[in-house]
Amino acid sequence: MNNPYILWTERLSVRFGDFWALRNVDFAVREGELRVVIGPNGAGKTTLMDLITGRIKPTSGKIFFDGHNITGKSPHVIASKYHVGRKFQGPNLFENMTVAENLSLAAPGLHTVGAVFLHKTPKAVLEQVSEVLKKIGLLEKRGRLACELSHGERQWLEIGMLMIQNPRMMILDEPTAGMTEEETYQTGKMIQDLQEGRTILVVEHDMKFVRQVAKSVTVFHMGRILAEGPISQIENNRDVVRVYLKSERTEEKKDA
Amino acid sequence: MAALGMVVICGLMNVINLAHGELIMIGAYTAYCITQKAGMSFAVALPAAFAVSAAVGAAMELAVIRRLTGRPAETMLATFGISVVLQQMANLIFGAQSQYVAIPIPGNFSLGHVVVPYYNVFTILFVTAVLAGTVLLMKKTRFGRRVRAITQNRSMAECLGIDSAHVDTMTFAFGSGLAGLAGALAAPVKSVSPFMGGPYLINSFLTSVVGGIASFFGTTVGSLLVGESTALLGGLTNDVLASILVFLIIIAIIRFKPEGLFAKERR
Amino acid sequence: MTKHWSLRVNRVLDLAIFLILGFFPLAGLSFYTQLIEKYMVFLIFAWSLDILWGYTGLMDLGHAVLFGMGGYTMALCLSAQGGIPEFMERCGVTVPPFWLKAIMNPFAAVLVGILLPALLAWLLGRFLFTSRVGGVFFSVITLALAQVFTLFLQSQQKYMGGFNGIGGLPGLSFFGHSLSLMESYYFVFCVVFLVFAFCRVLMASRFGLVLRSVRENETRLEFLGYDQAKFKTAVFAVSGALAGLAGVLYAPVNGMIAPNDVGIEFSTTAIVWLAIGGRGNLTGAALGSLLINVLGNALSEQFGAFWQLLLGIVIIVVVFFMPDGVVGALRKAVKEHE
Repeated sequence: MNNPYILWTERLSVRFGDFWALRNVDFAVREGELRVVIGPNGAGKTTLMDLITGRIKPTSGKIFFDGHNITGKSPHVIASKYHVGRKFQGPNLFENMTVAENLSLAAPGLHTVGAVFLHKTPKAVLEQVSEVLKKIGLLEKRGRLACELSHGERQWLEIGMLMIQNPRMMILDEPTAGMTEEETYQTGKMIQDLQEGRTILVVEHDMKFVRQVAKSVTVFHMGRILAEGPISQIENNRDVVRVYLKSERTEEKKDA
Repeated sequence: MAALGMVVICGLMNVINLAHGELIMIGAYTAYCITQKAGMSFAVALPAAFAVSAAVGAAMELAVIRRLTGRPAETMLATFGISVVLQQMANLIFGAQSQYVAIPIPGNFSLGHVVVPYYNVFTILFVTAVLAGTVLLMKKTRFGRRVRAITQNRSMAECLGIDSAHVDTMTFAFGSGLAGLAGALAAPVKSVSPFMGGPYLINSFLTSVVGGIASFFGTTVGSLLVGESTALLGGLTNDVLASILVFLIIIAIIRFKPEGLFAKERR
Repeated sequence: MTKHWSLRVNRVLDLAIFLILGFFPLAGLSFYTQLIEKYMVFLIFAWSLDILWGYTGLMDLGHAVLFGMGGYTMALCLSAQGGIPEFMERCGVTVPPFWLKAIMNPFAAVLVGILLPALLAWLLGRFLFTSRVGGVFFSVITLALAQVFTLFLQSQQKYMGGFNGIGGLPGLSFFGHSLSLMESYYFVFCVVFLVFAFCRVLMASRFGLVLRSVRENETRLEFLGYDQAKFKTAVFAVSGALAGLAGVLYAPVNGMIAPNDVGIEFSTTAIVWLAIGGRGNLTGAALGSLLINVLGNALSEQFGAFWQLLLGIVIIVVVFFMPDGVVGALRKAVKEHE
């Protein structure tokens, strides 16, 4: 296929009651790209991710992944068949299971009942788990329950789960939420490590982080794409500054 | 037809309370005590039943339910425990045999082929009045507004100075009181025993689900539907088959429309 | 190694339970041996509920229906051994209905008794779990199912014995040889042990891992590529099969079966066993069911209604102070002792 885009949407729209969360969005990402999506709260960023991963169905429009029409398919099909992985806003883990178990579950393949009924976890998977544990720095804590970890560690665990899932496209929803500056920086590095030819979509608010990792940025506002382009261009775009960055800077001033 | 009236009231529930059936029973026993034992009129029994059940409900909410918010399995277990305790206490105090409450408005009249007892008519009228009263309560009074505010957005309501815990208790007490009323109304027709709450429990759950948990109107219609269809089908085939059919239909509704038939759209 | 030690609690309890059960008949109390035999059958039922509720988080309030299907199948078979069962004859049945003929062969009856509830569970699962039917709805629907089932049995005077159920059932027998109490007891003991081993292996496998994650965070699991509906349906079917097996054993061991044994009351009783004993680890289910059955039998003779009242209070207390049941509390105590 000559199409360089691995993901694209056609006039994607979704409505809740009277409220249009997304309106005629044509969003496209090339394979291997690291795209950051920013915008004020309620602009539709997470909604877009929900639609792509199958969590909600669009009111109209289509979504294509790798040439396939994935509009309206269930989350588990999109994850399993099309290899799309997602990290949620605020760590979304299996709290009362161990770190190792969390990672083990994320391992690819082995998704059907037949594959797991009365079967122990294969050795290959256990090795993968150990490797990822090393990469995210949680090797000694492998036997701890997920609920016992610190906030930053929990975010890393979820990133680790993405690593082991090894998807073709990853969606990271506010991966640095609640992190310290140092942790945020580490996360930025982890994400850059993750890239390796994968497509990564990141939804973020923290502009410092965005500057650290982003090559190209899409700005959403009120359910539509406001601007798109390299980070430098976006920061100088008057509309973007007016709508979003200004409120960001006011926020940063407040925090200071 | 009397069953219809009962089910309407039973359907007003906002929390998963397995002891709801027992609240009905308490209302029924209150009616029994007041009319038979104390010899007072039925008119006294009704508000008394409401008050007693409401008090018990409030106690339940304060002692137990509020500690378990967000944990449905625990709430169910705890309320199940409460229901057992209540049943056994009734058993110990009153004994297990059925007691009877005299029908306050005896006699009946005929509508063509159908014989309609006066009491049933009274029940339906009374229930309609209660329903109207409840709707008014929810829509017009400050209390009602607070309840609706909390259902829609709890944290916001608290910021506005509404004591949500207090309102919760009151709401629960109100719902329990209604159950007690139902019990009192049912008492003359169905006889009173410690274990009478069971079937009502299941019916209340099902009707509230069919109607839509957040909507009073829906619940009313739901219970009307359930009660009416059971009666209708019961007339056509037999009672058991009717129950099975209604049950199947309800499952189908739950499966395909989990918000109920009249739910408000939620984001 | 705290996890190690608290698991030790489970192993010790398991061992203790099996040793006690294994050696009990040697005490020579034949009445109690028969009782314990029945309680062993209940263990299978408890475990069938545990894999569904304890591990997967699906609170089935009508589990006894699956048990009852197995039990009634076997009861019908056993009572039809000498031709048309007596209770049917009394109602004027002269020709055995086709389905009765199908299960006259005990082996066929056992198979049907196990597979029929599994099939119902599977169908129900496929229907319910594929929509976003939450946990509470599942509980309510299973509760309603139990009520319908009881109503149905009570109404079928002709074919199911109505209110009184089916009585006068012979004990276990193989190839014409009727088993003595000891033989019967140890046969059941072996079955119980096999079921325990099966459940342990199944829950320790990756299947168990996925089930636990269904309980923990169902939506997250979907995003990892697992179809939670398929897994829930699968465990429901297995649970149904085991419950049916328990029922199949119950009929001959108990000698009779009635609608009250297999309705809401028994379903909720099993829930209570697990709530008090602990769930999500087969030990808790075993401990809870044995404890309550034995204590209940001992105390209700003396105190009758007080026992029920006490049970109700204990349930409330357990919910607040011991959410993981007795076994959970023991494990915590051991962990803290470290």
